Amino acid sequence: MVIKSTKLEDDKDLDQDDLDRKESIKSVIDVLQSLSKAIKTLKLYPDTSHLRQKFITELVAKFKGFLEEYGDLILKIKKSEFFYMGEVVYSNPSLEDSIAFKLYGDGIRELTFTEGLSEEELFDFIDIVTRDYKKEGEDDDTVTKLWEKDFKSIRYAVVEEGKDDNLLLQIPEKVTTTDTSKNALLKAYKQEMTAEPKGESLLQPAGVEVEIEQIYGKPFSEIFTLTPEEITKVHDEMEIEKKMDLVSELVDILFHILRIEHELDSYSEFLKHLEKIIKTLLLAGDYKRVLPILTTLKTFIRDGNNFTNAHAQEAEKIIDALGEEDFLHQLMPQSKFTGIEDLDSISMFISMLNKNAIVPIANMVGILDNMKARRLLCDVLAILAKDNIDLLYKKLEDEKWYVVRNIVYVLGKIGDIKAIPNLKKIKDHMEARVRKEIVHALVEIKSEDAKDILIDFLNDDNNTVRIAALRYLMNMSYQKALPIISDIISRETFDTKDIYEKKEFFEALGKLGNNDVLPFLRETLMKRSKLFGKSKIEEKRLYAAFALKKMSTTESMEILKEGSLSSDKGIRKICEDALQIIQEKR
Amino acid sequence: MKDRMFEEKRGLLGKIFSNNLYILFKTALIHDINNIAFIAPLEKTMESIENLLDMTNSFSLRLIQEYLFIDDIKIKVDIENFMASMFLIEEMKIRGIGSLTFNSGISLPELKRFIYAFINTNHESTDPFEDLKSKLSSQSVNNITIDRIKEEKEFFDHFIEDTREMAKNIYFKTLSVASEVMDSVKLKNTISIKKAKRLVQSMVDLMLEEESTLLGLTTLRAYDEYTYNHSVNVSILSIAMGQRLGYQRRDLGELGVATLFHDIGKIELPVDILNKPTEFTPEEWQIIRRHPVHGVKTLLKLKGLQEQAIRMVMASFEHHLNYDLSGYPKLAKQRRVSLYGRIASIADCYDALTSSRVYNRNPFIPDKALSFMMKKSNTAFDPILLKIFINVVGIYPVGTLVLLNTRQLGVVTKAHPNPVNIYRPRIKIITDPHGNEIDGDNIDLSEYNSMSIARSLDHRKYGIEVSKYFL
Repeated sequence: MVIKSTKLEDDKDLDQDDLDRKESIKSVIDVLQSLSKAIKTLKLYPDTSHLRQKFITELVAKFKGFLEEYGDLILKIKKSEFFYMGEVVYSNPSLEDSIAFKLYGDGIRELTFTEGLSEEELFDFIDIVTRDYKKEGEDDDTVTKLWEKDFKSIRYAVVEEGKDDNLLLQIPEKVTTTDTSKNALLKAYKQEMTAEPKGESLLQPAGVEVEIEQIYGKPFSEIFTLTPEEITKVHDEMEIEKKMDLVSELVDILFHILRIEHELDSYSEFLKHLEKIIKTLLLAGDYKRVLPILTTLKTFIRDGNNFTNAHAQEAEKIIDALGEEDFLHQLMPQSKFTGIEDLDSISMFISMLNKNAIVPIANMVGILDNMKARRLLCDVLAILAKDNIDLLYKKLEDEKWYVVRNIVYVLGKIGDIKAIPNLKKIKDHMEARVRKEIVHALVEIKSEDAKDILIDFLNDDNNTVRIAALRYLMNMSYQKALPIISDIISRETFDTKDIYEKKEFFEALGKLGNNDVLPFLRETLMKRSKLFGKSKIEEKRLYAAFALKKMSTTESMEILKEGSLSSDKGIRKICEDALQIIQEKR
Repeated sequence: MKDRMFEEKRGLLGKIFSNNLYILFKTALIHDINNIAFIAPLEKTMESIENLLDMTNSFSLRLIQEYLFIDDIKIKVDIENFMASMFLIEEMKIRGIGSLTFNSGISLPELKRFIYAFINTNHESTDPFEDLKSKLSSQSVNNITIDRIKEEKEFFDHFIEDTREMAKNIYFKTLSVASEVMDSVKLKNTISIKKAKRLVQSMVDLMLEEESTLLGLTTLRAYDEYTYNHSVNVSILSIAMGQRLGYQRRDLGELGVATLFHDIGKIELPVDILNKPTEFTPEEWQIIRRHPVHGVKTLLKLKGLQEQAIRMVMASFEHHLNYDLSGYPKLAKQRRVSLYGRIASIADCYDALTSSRVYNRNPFIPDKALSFMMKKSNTAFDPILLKIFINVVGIYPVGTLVLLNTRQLGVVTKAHPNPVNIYRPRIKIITDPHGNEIDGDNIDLSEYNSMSIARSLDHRKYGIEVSKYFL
């Protein structure tokens, strides 16, 4: 962009007026340079940038300085140039970036800035002159927008588009007396007078006012004067409309039409518009507005407002369309970054979708990198897929372990026993976190089959999986697990487990155990320590005492009492401690 | 050019001042000079006087024709200050006052003395103006002076002449653009309402200056261009109502565009039905009654979710619903008809009733149309908005051919702004008492007690081109 400097005569030849003129032109060039800079800055920097404010503040100061010194700044516009006092003060050959060209193109030929110009006005002005209205598909240009803004300190003059002389021909001429009009008037007069008394007397009023008084039943003077109550009523209505949510109004109109539209093609067309509105709102992240629309739509479908099955199917198609993979993918950037408050709305939105959304949502679980969002999708999926869990099985084969884990989580939340065979299929999944999730899921399902599979996990390679399974079995008091637990404890490999796990197993034995396990526990408790392996034997004694304490039956107490009388100091101490704890608890 | 900010500020202060002055006069008419109830309005009026004097040493409240001005800035009238304006105009007129000038130095007691001198003026006297003037002088009211009313003909005629030319230009251009848009819709071309929007914005500006000319243009009707004429007329009538309601400039623009395309759905109707010269059959009516819904469809296809587009949809959908939803389309559930819809409905019905159409060769004359509509007040039409509409167009709207009690024929050139005198509009006398055409005066009937309208006539019946008398 080039801002031309004006070539002026030598100062010595100039009188005071010329000097003033020269100075004012310089000053205008300076102002317009600042304007160009501010426009560039506003384009380049985000709304939050302090640079934007800085440039605008500077620009306002420049304008203010000029307006105070020289009065109104009146710019004439010719193609890509601004003229001030006949001199070019702005010229930009790059038409795309030229403000002058843009204003010229829209028919503006003069632009005036007056005193009082504010920052807000300048921000708005720059926004108006830099917007690409065609691209944005708006029915506006700089002229309509400037008009709407109704700036107090910016005026503009627009040239009219080519006059249509043909149209102007239709405009009646000034009053002229022609024979035709003379005759017409005379004819009218004569005809109207036939019913009137002859002579010069005044005619009686028979106008519409008589009729109106009859309609209203009160004096004419009172009929058309608004009462204070009426004025208030209208004002209140105007206030209501100021706050009116226009999109909701549009949606309301569409529902009204859908309730009465019988023609299927037309009905579908209106539904398509409704779909478009919902999608636009969703893409704008406006879930809160979408939810009531979807609620109304669902009620609308449910209450049988539709005329035939075909109508109902058409209405369902909107919800199907919202659950399509492509559309949900478009929504993702929003859901990925939205705050937790919106996640609730998103969750509600997804829960209102149809079953066609199940697979796309399950796929999205694998794409989202936001854990909170992923968990939310899973929770919603559990609601959405409740009656269609078979649609989820395919995802149990997913390559990504976390997708499998999330789907297992969903199946667990649903808690349908039909999922058990599919969970069983992947119980040996190579990822321990998946296996652990399967353990949780099986617990949620709470069937005997699920518990049986849980028993298998007691031998899992991963101790957290084993412990999880063990705890659940213990908490569910699943007796069928007892022989396996005993078996595991008695294996030589048991000694290799860490202390925590061993304790868990003995606790389980104590909790699930009956008199059948007492001989084993007694033997473990009473085992005399040898020179070698003393610590291992003492460790096992402790677990056995712990298990007996957990059992807390007469028989288990007897064994502990017996132990407390043992000549082995170690056994005696363990048993005395266990008995004391039991005593205290009681 | 005068600074617009200054003008707007003065206009607003003027509005506040006239409202306060009105309340003060009304209070003075009820309470005596020492009543405590008089203090608050007196102080409020004084405050608004001081606000106006803040910028200058003196200012005048001037009466020019039917408008109040603060110096040369017109006070805009809406429902908020309508009563005040009408009252002040009337009271100034009967005292023969053309302007009240307030000078700096005015005091509360002086204002008080002025108010009571004003209301106690005997307007039955031969010269109420002189009566008041001597009262003011004897009571030492020096900082409020009065001037006699004078016909500021030159000022006004010039103003009217300019706006007339502009109005004609804009009206016919809008007509052309409306037809362009509708043709584009017919041909399924992409449409832009940008041009229409610009023209509507010009109409709004014009309406804010002077409403009679544009209103007068709505009486021009081309029989074969009914749809386009009708669209522009409904837009103008709606803007006029919106202005009276006190809508902001931008809202008036939106209202104008929305109502300009209220009938866009008619494009979907079969041409042979639309142009049918005889009465419609019930089946044909059923088809006709689908046009508001067609309009919604068309507009939704063309426009997005912008505010303006939704307003257009609302006007299209609601303009035949009726205030009590007794119209069409018949809704299955209740709905509050928007103000835009209610305004469009009144403007649409009035223009339709008074226009020649293929199926309505004998339209109502304007006052009969209004009387017909009044019978449907509170059912088909919002009663308050209908009142406002009648206030805007008058009982005898611009262009009505009337027979006066003096046996002269006249054409209404301007509605009387005061609802009390709504049946006494401004009239151009076009014949002598024997029916001979004359280029008579343009008189304000409210100022001629002996003259009144005997009845309105149908100018079409006699082939009289009325528009030439007021355009």
